[in-house]
Amino acid sequence: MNPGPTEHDLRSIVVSVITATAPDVADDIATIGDDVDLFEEFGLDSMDRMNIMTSLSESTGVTIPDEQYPRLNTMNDLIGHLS
Amino acid sequence: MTDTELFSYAMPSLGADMDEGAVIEWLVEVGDTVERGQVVARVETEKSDIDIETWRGGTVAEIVVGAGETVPVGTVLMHLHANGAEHGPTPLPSPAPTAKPREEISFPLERDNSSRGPRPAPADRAPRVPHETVWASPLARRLAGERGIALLDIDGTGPGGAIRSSDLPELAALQAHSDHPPTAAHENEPRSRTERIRSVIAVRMARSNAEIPHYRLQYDIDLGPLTAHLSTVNAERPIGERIVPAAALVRAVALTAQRHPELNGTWRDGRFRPGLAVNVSVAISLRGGGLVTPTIRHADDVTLDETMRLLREFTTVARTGTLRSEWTAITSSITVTNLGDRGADLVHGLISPPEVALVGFGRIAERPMVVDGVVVARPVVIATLAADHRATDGAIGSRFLSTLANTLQHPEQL
Amino acid sequence: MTQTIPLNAAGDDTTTIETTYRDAMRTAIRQAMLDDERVFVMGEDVADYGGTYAVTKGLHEEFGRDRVRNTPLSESGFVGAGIGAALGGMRPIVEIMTVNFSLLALDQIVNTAATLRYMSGGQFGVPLVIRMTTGAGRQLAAQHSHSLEAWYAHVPGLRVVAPTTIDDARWMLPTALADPDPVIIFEHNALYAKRGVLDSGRGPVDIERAAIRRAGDDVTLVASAGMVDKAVAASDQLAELGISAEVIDLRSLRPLDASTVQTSVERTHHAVVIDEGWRTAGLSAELSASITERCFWTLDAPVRRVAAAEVPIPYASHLEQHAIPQTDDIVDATTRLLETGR
Repeated sequence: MNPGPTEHDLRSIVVSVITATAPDVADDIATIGDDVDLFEEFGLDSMDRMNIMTSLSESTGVTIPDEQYPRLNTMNDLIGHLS
Repeated sequence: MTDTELFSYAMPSLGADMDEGAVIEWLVEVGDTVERGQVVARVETEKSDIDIETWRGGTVAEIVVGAGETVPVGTVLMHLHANGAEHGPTPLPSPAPTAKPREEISFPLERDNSSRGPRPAPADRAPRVPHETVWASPLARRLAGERGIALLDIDGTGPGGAIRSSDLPELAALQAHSDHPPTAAHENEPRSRTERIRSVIAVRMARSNAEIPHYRLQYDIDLGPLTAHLSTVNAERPIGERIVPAAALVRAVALTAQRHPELNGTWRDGRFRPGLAVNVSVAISLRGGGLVTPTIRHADDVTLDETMRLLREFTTVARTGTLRSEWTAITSSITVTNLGDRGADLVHGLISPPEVALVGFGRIAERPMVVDGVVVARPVVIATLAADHRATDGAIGSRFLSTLANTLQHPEQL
Repeated sequence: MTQTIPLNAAGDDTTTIETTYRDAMRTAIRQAMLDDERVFVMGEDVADYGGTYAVTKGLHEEFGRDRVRNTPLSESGFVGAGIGAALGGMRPIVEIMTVNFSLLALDQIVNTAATLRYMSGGQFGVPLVIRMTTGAGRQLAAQHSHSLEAWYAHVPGLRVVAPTTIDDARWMLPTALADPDPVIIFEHNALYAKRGVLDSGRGPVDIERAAIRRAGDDVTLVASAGMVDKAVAASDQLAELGISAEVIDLRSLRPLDASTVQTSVERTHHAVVIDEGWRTAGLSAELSASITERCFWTLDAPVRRVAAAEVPIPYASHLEQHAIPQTDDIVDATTRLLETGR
């Protein structure tokens, strides 16, 4: 059996998805704390959020229900949902 | 016989405030065949980086301005061996000779009509190219050609909607610039994108605040039906096709603007000119400051799904810095600003001249509302309208917001 | 001697005097006669009566009947005599009472004066000056009130000028007299009483360039003869509406100074042509075509024409005023052009 993606893999997926959506955060996302609200910190709006959720779902195959969006704000939230 | 002619492609004007641009990158090379509408280069402007398209197909003959060079609007960037006539902005007719060789003519000695060569049958003649008529003054045509502005997208104020030079988007900007002499101390220092955007906003908003007598109204709109509708719709859809409330708000403004033409248009030369279409500009803020305002053409005819798709594209592209010229080089008739799902409760904005109205949305939040005599928590957005008192009065603005609220009570009709 | 009033009591400004268009014209004729004994005046009632519009009043007393000659009522005859005198070395100034009556001399002017230079292979010239009154506004009815300048502006071999300022009334004549070929001077009847300041030290002026009477940026008003002052008045009213109108006084109707008009229209992108003549096949048609040919790619709206109604000028005052362009008509046409493009 193939083991699922590691937390490290998921973190790099999240970083690359957010960077692709908002290239201007590339420098800052590497050093962001795991419990910091990414959308607040980076000034991302609902369209960005939709773009990020779509890409994450496509890269990992994990569905993200609509109503979950507002609860997935930090690196920990996102990695937790995707693992 | 060939229909090829040499066509000079010039630095287009990609928005109201552009007077020069830098070629960042060429996406074509000499010898490449290009089609009408193909992106040929990426250009950096004061506002953002923009992919520019050619409006003539053909073969690239020469690239005149290299990547990295900054040139004024109207400077020839490349030459194309263009294909047959296509329409779009009409450039000045160059005195280039028409390449059609003259028919050989023989002079019969006798005056006998039957001895003359047969006239070409009508079917042999070149078919007439159907032509979409754009009424424009010669000056407007010439300026648009020089600056790469598509006349098709502009609302004219002349007879029958004919376009005059004052209808071209950049002329308003030229006036704005003349109000604002450059500060000599910083003239030669290169400015960052943020600084450039900041200075454009500074000029435009100072002009708005100085010239436009704003009146402002607000309206609490119950978004219960909308959020319920979107949950149902989104639950059945793959994640990439889901719709966020912000798209529904823009769509609702477009439908409302279509029903209230008094607020959809521009104020120029001392009077209101109704927009020929509902072209909704959407303010998108940039991280690090500044905003861009791409426009949805004929937004009242754009479905909610398509509105959502465009807004996602706008956002992505605004972040990555390449707005397409088709989103910026057209006359917008009304602007929407949305503070987003975590912003302030409401916005009292400034109109983007020469428009006469700006619709603002605050954060959608659970707020107490009285429904059937009972206080309940409902998702509510506070919509605001900033409108030009020269063009309309509060009663019309009030009816606009009321229509907007009603429209949002029937989300299935969006 | 003409009545001249020094501008200031001290009299230390000897070159600037306040006078009328009529007196400036008379001063020009008198000085020409003093300067050159070949110059003489001929026309109907120009001697004892002083001319229908009193331009030659007093001249016969100073210069005698040989140099200020009354003629029979035969325009063809006395214009022909003027041509003969010019061919013979004289410098005649022939006065025709109105342009309407000049039609009786049309054969002499068009078939003889204008052609001899060409038909003689340059051997003979006709250094003749013909002055005639033009224009409506004095209730003289259709046979005395028409503006037929365009008829003469059509003809090669003639120079046609229309002075509208006091200075031009004084200083175009010596240039016209110095010309080796026929020159027609149109004097609009409404201008004779116009008062203004004459620069009496200015000296002869050119008779082929237009002049800008008001500078402006938004629209070019092109006018001549009696329409220039109305165009200037219109530009004042337009300024109050925030419209900056440039007024061009053509001065010369043949040759037309198309380049001055072009330079202006290329800057303003809008042109309104004002003509007291009829619109059809008139001077305004020529100007409109010339502007369109030269300025097409800089025009932001069609060239607009304000011209006389297509009727013989009526006698009744209100109808007469209605038939010819007025200041309000110019203001209306210009604001409409700028606001709506039509």
